[in-house]
Amino acid sequence: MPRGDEPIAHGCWHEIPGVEGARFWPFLRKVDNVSSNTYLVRSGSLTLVIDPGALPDQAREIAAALSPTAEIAPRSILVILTHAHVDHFRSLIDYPYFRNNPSLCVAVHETGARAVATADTNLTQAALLGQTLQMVEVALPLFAGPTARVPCGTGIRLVTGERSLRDGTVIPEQVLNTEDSCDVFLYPAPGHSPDSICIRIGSYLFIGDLLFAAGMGVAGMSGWNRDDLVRSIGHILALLQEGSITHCFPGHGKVLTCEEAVRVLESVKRDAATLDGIEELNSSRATETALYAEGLMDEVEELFTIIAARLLYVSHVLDELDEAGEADAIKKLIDTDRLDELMTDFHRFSAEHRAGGKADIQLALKAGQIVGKLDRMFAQQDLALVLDPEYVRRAGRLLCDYTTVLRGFRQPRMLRKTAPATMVAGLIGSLNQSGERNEDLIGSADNPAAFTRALIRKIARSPAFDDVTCACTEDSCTCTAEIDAAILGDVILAVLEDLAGAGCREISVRVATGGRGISITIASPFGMPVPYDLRKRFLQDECARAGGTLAWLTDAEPASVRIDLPSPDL
Amino acid sequence: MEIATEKKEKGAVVRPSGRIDTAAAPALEQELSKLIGEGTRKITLDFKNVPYISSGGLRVLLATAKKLRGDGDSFSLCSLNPEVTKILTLAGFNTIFSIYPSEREALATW
Repeated sequence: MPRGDEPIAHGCWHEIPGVEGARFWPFLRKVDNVSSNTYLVRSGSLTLVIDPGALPDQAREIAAALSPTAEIAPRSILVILTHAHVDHFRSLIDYPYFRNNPSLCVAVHETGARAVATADTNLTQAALLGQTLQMVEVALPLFAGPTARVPCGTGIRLVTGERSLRDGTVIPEQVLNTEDSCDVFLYPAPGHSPDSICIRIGSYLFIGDLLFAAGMGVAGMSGWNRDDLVRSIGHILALLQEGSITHCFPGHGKVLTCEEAVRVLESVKRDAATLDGIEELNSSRATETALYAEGLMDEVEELFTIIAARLLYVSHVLDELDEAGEADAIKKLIDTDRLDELMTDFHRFSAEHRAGGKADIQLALKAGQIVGKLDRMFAQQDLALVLDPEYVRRAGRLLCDYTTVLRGFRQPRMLRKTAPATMVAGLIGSLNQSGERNEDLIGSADNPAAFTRALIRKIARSPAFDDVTCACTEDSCTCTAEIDAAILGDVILAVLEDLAGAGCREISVRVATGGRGISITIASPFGMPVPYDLRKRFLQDECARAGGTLAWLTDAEPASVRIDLPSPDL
Repeated sequence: MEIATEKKEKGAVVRPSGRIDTAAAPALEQELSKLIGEGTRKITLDFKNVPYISSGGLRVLLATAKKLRGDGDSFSLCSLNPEVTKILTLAGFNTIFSIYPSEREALATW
């Protein structure tokens, strides 16, 4: 029997401390949006299934644990949902044991009861996960007011009241039991969903998805409410601080001690406070985010590959110069094997998504997971000492932008009144001059450490943009446009890289006025590579975010890329 | 990734197919090491069917280039797609490897 710090094993019956004769059986899963944990509880004639989950194998194991030949005798089974999200109850529809079982009835908060009874694909998140739904009959709606009736013949009693906590907090409470069972205490905890509840049995508290409610790809789901969430967390924290609860059992992932749960809930409360104004995470938002993720991950993969390859190149040259120690240090600035693993993982997942095996929200979340890992292994400051800082900044911005979007916010942009001609001239100037100059290298020759640093920067500097020229017509120099200069600069850099990477030389960038706006035209007499559709769409979307439009003019002479920016001055 | 090797009178043409990432790179490294171990001193890698090469793959190319820099040795790449060309160029590898538009042009240098 687990007491305090003893581990609670998956798939085994345990006694619940503090409640004589009550036993419980946890089915614990890793955290995902496919299926929840399940907890079985047995006390007297009462058998509870808290969140049956959504997977056939899980349902099979639950059915076996509940079978008459197993630990318990046949009796009425009450399936109780911490909330009516489809990953917590899909087995009720799909798995015959639950679907066709006359001795089983379902209890869920009345809002969730309406959602499952009407097969509401939004509130249940079925639409978000690309699933269809069938109706589920709910015998016992919880917190449904004085008219609510318990199902006949089950022996279940339900009493509604309030609980006053030591800190003065008063929370609604329902107590559910049978004649010979322990009490099961129910507390509403809206926020993650309007129908979320927490369930207390003895010193155990089953908390549904409260721990994940402010997380990326969770916050903002249909029915999510930040203010309710903050209030609910406050109530549950007050309940935990009463001191009688030892463990919290989340809807996903591992069991937490009371102390761990308090720490995490306080952090969730802080995170939730920052989520003012996030957009609703519905299926169209998920599709939009997945599209963004595909383009962004393609760009991120290319940028990180170039960064890692450039480090490899610098390391190789240093090695040739008998600077093995420095060569090794440079190579270690990024874990290329890990980088490859992460990108291969995303490619695999993305292929499954294209084949219809994964929903848009799952792709969006996968990208978020990879972006988070890349961000943790991306030593921006150290890399910027070696490589062109613009490359490093750009990679960092992409990672940061995606995290912002996945948290539920719009793609960030800062439109400012800017003279594009000045901005473009500055960008090309910095490309032409980036890296260590010969005189700096010579000047540091008597200081070995400074010389090595200068040498590394000299080697790291890419000559790819040396012959890019910039020309601005006189009238364009004073014209302004509302643009996000950082994003626009990155789009221009990406186009220049396409050209330089294809071996095109004599690249010209021309800024001119015309019609009602300013145009930036990038061309080379050696041709104009047109990127594949995914990259094209990503760059066009980025340019739109920066305040302009981007087009590849393949029929022009010479073929060129043109960015148009509307100007209030014209 | 699949690898097809064609031995010729003066050397060998190695034709990998698929992404060359950390998972695929060891197989390519093994094939190239085997050829060098057998005494092949001129190798051309035909990248016609390689859509992408990661830094893990580039490491294998560098290691091979290091082994084949004696008198009369040759190590070259050919038929690179635009994405692979771009990565090699922007990373600076075009200054280390001999890169040719086609296999015919690469073999002409043997």
